[in-house]
Amino acid sequence: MIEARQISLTKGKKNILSNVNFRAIPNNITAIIGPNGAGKSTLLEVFCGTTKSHTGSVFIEGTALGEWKIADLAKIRAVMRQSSSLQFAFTVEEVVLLGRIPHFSGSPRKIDRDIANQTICRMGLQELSNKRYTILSGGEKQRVHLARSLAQIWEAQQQGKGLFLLDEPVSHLDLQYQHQILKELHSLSRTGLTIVLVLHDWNLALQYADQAVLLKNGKSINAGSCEQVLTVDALKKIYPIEAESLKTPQGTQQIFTYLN
Amino acid sequence: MVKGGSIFFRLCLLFLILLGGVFWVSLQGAVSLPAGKVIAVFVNKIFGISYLNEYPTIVEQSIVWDIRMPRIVLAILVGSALSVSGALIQGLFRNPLADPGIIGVSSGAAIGAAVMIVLGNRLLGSDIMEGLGAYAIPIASMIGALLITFIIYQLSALGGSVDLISMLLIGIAINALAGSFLGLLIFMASDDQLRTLTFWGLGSLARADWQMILTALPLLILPLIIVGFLARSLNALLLGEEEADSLGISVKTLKRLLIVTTAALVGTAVSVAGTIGFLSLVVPHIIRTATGPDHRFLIPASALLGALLLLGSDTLARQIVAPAELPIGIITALFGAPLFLGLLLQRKKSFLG
Repeated sequence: MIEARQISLTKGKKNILSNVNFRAIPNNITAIIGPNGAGKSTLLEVFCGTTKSHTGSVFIEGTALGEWKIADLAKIRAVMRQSSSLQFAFTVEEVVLLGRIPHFSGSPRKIDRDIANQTICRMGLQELSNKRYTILSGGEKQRVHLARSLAQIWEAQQQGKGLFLLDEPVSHLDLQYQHQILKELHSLSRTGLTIVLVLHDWNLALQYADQAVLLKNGKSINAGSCEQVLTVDALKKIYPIEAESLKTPQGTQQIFTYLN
Repeated sequence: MVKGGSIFFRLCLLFLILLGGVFWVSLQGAVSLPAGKVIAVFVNKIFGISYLNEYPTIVEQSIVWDIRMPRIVLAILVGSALSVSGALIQGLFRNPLADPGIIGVSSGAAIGAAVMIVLGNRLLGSDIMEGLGAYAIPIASMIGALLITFIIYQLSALGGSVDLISMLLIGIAINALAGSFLGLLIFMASDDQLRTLTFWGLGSLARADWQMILTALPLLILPLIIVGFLARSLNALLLGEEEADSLGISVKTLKRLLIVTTAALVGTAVSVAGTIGFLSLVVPHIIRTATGPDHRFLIPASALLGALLLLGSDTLARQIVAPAELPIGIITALFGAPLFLGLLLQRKKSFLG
């Protein structure tokens, strides 16, 4: 669970974020949606603690972000960036074990290896487990980092406390992987995790996320369930494009966009 | 990650090979001594007792213990320091091709040392110089290495991770600057200073003696001990600074420690042996290829293999044109430069586009 109150952030004279309120709860995927430059990634950075120049307060599991010890926070909060710059030929298993670093000192224990193996299986990476990370495809790498993040907050997730922050986890993947990763995240969220992700694509959010926070020019202009927030009207207000509402065979709302 | 038991086994194996190497090298030299005599000297010097019925003469003792051993020990120290500094700097820059020589850290150390040799008395006065004693040059060398590492890090870390091209370009600039600065110092140097200076260009272990080793030892052992505790954090850092931060690592402290320990290792190594290129690149590369990038194994294994390779190169440098000897930097470059080119070619795709 993560809650943010009155988050504002200025860079120079520009307001990147102004008075944003935010809340994400366990067993839910909360998507941060908005056009380029709306402040989505910055908001996530505030949650990560990498940006500290903001005003307002962030609470993780009821404790203010600044009061968490970084080592303790690492046990319950995982962060996944757009893509990792890992250039060293660790095996897949080794990369996933890196996620266990907050839990051991010195060398990984047996329980760390067991948990890493469980998350490897969960992500369907068993056959790649001894392969070198550097030779994997983009989608496979992303799954490895999912497994790594999951291994990091494994115990917290069992207690319904885990927080998983993702910055555009699918933006450079092909369609198949986009759906595969988000589907995986969706089923993960049902195991007690609080998942917050930055997403560009409204339709993917409508299919896989539960809650949405819509940002524009650093302001939260709407928040609530995806169906309520991500509507054709809202889209037309944000982008100068035309849109029609559609439904998938499963009855999920989708939006078809075009230029007039 | 490599399993605990097999890490220990492999390190022991490397250590035994190194011990064997030390013994073999102690037999090599202008005067040929039988193995029994050499063992007798070791046993006598270390345990204070005589070995079997071998009674080496004073001259023989002196050859083994005062001429050959200091050089062997220095090769081991410098070899491990340079190789570990390579592993560290590659971790810090998150780039397996970073090398203290190529990116200019060694040049920084050489400038520091050269400034101290040529201008030390003028800048600090003879009182301070006397107070610093044998530490004056290593300390100046370390400060030079520290400054350059810091500058490179500031320049290249602007965009987050450090890409190969900017790293190499910065290296070219710094090495060129260092070259002209060294030239200037050579121009200003007296004959005596000149002889000491020339030796930095090529690298050599020929000046080895116990006094030098005693001076360098604490400056090398302390950083090597600190580094031993950084392995887990370094593994996390390979993922990226922000990723390491989310894994609970205090990245700022880690980076400072890395910069200081690297500078101490390179600075001290350069101050006693001059600039010996490519070892820092080659050794961690070999270990990574064999067992992967896990620093818990990479750091100690690099120390051992680096010691072994430099010991071997030094012996080659002494034997190949005996009774003269080649500067050791020529041998390491002969093996290292082609490997570096090969690695660049391997990465040509990402390198060019």
